[in-house]
Amino acid sequence: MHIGFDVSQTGAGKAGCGYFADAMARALVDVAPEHSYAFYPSFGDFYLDPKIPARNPYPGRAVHYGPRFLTRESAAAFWNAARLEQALHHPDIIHANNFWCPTQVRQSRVVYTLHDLGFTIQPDWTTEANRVGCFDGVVRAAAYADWIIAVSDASRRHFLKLFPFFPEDRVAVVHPCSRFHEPLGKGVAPKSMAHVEPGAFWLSVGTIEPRKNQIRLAEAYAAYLRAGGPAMPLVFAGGEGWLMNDFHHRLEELGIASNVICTGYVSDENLVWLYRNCYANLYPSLFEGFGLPILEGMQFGAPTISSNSSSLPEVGGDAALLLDPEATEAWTAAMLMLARDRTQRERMSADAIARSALFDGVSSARKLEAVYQAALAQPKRQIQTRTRG
Amino acid sequence: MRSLKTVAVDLTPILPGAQNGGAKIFAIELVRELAKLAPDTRFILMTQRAAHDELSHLDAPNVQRVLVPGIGAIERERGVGRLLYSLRAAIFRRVPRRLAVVMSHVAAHLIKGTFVRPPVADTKADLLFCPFTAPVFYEPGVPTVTTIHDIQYMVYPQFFSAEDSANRDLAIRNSFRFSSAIAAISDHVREAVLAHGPPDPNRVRTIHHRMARRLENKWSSADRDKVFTMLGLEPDQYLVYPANFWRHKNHEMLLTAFAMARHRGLPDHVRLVCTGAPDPRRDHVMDLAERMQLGGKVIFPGHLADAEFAALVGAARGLIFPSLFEGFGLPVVEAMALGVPVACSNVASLPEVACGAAMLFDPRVPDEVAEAIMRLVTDEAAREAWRTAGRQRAEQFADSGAMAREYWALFGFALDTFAGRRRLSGVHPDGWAGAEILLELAHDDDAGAVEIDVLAPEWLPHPAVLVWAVFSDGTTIKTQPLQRSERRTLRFDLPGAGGVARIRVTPSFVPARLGSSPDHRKLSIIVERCELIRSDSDRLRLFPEAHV
Repeated sequence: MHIGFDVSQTGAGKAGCGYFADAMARALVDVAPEHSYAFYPSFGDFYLDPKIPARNPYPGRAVHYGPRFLTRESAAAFWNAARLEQALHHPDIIHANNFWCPTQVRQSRVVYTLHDLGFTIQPDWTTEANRVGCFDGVVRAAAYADWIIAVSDASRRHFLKLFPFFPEDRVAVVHPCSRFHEPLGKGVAPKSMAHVEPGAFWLSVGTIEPRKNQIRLAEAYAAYLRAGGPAMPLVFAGGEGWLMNDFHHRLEELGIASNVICTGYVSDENLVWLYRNCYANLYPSLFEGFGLPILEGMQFGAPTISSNSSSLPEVGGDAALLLDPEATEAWTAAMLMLARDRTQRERMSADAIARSALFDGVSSARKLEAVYQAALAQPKRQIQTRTRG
Repeated sequence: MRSLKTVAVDLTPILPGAQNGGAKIFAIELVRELAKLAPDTRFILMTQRAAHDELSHLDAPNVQRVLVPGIGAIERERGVGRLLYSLRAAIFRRVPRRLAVVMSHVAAHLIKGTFVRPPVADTKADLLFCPFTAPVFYEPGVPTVTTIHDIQYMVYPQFFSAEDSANRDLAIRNSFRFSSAIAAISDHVREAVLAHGPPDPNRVRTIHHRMARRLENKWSSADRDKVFTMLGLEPDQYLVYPANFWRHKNHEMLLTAFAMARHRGLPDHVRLVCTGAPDPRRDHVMDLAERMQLGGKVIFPGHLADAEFAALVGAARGLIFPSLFEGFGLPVVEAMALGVPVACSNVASLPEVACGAAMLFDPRVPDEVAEAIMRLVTDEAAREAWRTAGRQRAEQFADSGAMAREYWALFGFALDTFAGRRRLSGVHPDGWAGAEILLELAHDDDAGAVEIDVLAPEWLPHPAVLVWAVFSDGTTIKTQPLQRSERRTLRFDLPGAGGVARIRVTPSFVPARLGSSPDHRKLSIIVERCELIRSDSDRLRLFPEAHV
């Protein structure tokens, strides 16, 4: 099988979408080396990273790389061309991972990764330019893709709710996996954590932005301190997103500015240290496509209190404490309870490690390969012929 | 008010058919009403060849059309003609039609001063009115009024090419710079203009489109039968979305929501009619509809004649309007006037125009749009409420005579407050000058001379440029050619107060065409400083300026 695979978002500074494509690319060449692969460092005209490294990150027997483009115009000219399949040497599979979807493909099977539909729930969670591009891509996928790969069952159901005409049996769930591989290592404490004792801080990982709901967590934490909870600091590990200029102001208002540490963007080594050494990992997100930070935390034995929204129950399962992200008092109560019950904390830590083992890149890549085989065995998606009347 | 004997109206952006969208409907309605309102004023309508004959219905004893050669026509005249020809050809081949409206103004810039005689000067107009924003035919000494329809390119830059955005920006900035008064078609537009631009708020007035009754009594039962037979429709069994297939009209969302609503139990016989002129975007939307299994459920009739369009809207079950951006939103009030219930977006000008008389929804949330479709079709109580409120709201926008009176008052304001103003134009904020630097002096200016520091950078594509000055009294002063890498102070004595000096530079170039940069501006040399010199001790800095 000749597999064309979009890796356009795997360059430096990648986020969830890029990690998924990167992990799957790596695992695919590993578990299915009999196929030939073309990895596309540029894919479509929505996302473009002209600085994507020119090295060969996915070594294998039959691995090739697609063309690179420095400008959106040149990328658009290539990817929107009528004879795209010819230019790509007629792959059996074209797998899109960056929200863009081709519409002119006649033979190759188009497989489309659906990361997240949060922008259709609350459009203000992202920039308008990004929302327009993502929505456009998802609509094109609903109309033209042969298969959808949803990163969670919640995303799968959400997609079918928005596009009820899409054949259910062509939407598969393939879970992402942690980006951290053996050996796991101890990690390195971030500089801003120099004076914090290991095991004695609350952690919350993620870009500071409205969707991640850090303000409510800060409110719950303030109430926790007022209620006499042990004075462990709350650590926000993540870059400053957007629309959050008033975040620090809000911390001042809550009177917890001196109890909160904002590390800013952290390296993978720092993240490993934080996950390993936190008292618990708190994830109050309002909406996720999957929820990588709780999976990754659980891998390192971080006891997890997570929002029960969207896909998060699927990831956390029985191992995490699942709470309504808008019920601030419930978060306060859970933190107070957990802070006083070490036994429960140790049990949650063990459960977390066991739970995280259920998600691994190799089985996800095998599932993905099975979808490719199924897609190739089936004809392209048939479109109902026009009926007037 | 001083007397307005002659008003020149720039209708050269008008193209045949529906390519200008609502702006054309507005301009024509307004001109007709103005001519009625002021029978003793002569209105000179500047037109381009392609639409000149189509506009003959505007002719009246005090209204006369003047064809502006070059605009929109293919004129082969030496080098400039060829350039124009190729530019026009490029416009019509590559860019969506509505962009061509703006682009034709750029073409006009290129040809102005070469073989097109300035029509405003010719006609001795007392006022120039530009209902399509760009004051291309601005003449020093003639007060100018422009209408601004929207600033969408600032909000949704991704819907425009870089070149198109630059041209729109030029039109808006020139409107700010040259207009004595500006009409904004909604408070939304007015606030956006004031937020982005320098104009004195007193010079910018909101004048709503008042022509809600345009479709009333426009059709006969024959028209109605014809359109229903042609489209295979039954009255009251479809929703209508009148919009060209422009990116911000959000057709992808509408199709998604319509399919969702059908899945949630929207009666199967209810169809969706998307009017709008054929173009490649329409082909894409039609193909999407097929693939979303909406074939036969969504109808694409193309552009309809007024009577047919009116019949179609008038008999619709409702009007659904999910646009992401509007300056006004004429179809909303037109449908209200016909007693058709409306559901529209809660963005841009639409809440202001609908003002509680329509169901509002977030056009970015599929669930909300699907819910709006369901209610518009099935919620009888709400339908009745919107129908009643809509009719009342439409009354506010019904009197096109009142709109003309508001414009007439704005013309008067422009005339009364116009005193000629001292200004320098043709120099970009970064110092690059175009082919002509225009220096206007106020009526009470007593400057003796102007001094300009200029620089020809060493990488200029031409070895030397010629700079000369032409004054309003006809005198011309030439200077020595300015060589590459040369910096020089030019000094010209001025003929007197209130005059105009045109400083011309040739040749000029467009960096983008040389492939050296994405800069699409037409450039010549760099101006480092420009000062009016009243006496040796009294100098007035015109460039760089503290504020635009």
